[in-house]
Amino acid sequence: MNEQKDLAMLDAVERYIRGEMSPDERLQFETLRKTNSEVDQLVVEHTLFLQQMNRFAETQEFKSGLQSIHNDLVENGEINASKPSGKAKLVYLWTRYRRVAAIAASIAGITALTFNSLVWSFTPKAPSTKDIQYLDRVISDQTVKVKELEKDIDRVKDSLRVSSEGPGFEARTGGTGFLIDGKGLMITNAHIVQKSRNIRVVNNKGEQFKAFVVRLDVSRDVAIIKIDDPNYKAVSSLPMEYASRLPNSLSPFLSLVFPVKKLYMEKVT
Amino acid sequence: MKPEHNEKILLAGLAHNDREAVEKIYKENYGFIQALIINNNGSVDDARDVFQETMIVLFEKTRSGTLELNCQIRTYVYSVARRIWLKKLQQQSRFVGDLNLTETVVSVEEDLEDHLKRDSEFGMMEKAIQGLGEPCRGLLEAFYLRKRNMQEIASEFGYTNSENAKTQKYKCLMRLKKIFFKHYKNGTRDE
Repeated sequence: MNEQKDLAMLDAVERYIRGEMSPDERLQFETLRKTNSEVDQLVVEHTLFLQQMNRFAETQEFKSGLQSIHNDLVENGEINASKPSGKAKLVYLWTRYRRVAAIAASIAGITALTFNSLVWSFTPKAPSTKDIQYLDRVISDQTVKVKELEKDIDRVKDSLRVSSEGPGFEARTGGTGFLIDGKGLMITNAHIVQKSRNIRVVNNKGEQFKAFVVRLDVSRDVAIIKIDDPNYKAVSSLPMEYASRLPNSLSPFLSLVFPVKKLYMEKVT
Repeated sequence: MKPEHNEKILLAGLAHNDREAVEKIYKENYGFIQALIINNNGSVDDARDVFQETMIVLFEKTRSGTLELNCQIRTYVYSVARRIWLKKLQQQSRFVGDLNLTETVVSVEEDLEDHLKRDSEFGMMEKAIQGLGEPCRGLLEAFYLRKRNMQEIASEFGYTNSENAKTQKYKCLMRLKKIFFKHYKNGTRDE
């Protein structure tokens, strides 16, 4: 009963705002509006809402129009934004510096020719045995030095290994995780920590911190762990932030890959 | 005097979302905005996003009836794109400071504030509509966004008559309004 009334009122309000009422009905409705503040409020609210809907429709239409214009212009070569994001910068630089590159190429050609003739006219007939002996000595000196350096590097590596692993703990498996808040919550894969009794987190300086599993979702292979270690100092800010809403299709996202330390731009489609 | 006249026609076309006008503005301004973004740590994708947001700001400005730009479209677009990109860089803390400017800029702070408000309202509406589920979502989109009449909608969705479709539409509308105003009155689009 009540719902029927609400629906009828909404219908009246909407027809009133859209100017779909007959003059008589309109007059009647306006009297009702004046005497009933609830109806008046409904009209105000619904007007605002319809405005929002209209604006939403317009903006949505405009946005999709922009995207199709962009694609058309790229396709016809009228704007120069090539589709694969990886190559885009290269292409851009190339067209920008095309003329410079052509000049540089011709200079390179001329220089190559000149050097050819220079080398040809200045090459001595044969190196003397003295020179060869001297070069031999230099090379063996260098070899000895390189070997010494290699030994030094090994020594440094050994000392690092001892200090970072610490006594009495030997990790059997390993994996990667990312901090998701400064206080030590991290996200990682469930299979990494699932069967572990002791978990240690190692940072990029080789420092180790104790951690425990907070949540485990084996079906999605995701785990949340928390660093619980007196030596861990909370990080005040992370180099990322959380999106306030779900991404649209075609919005760019970054995937972080370890240990390649590279950022990959990909598209969600 | 001629170029100014042309720009006015373009802006009037933009206000009506006239494809030819939008395409012309797009074509004439995209290149140097892309150069601005790429020369300041951005990618081609960033350039497209920033430029399209700039176009939306310009569209909103012409929609609101202020056709007077007091400067060339090029200068306006450059100024807006610069502010948007600067803000994005700061949000990602990739860069703090100013950009290498190659053009004159005008103040666009007010327009950007308007845009920010509208953008957040757009987000709220988008989220509210997405949260509705079918068939409510399709029903409302058909009537309010695609501007179909109830007869067409009834046959498209398989209602026996347009009265039933209308009743259903109002029920959906009440739900949508409830969701939308909950966020709107909180002034935030997040839970």
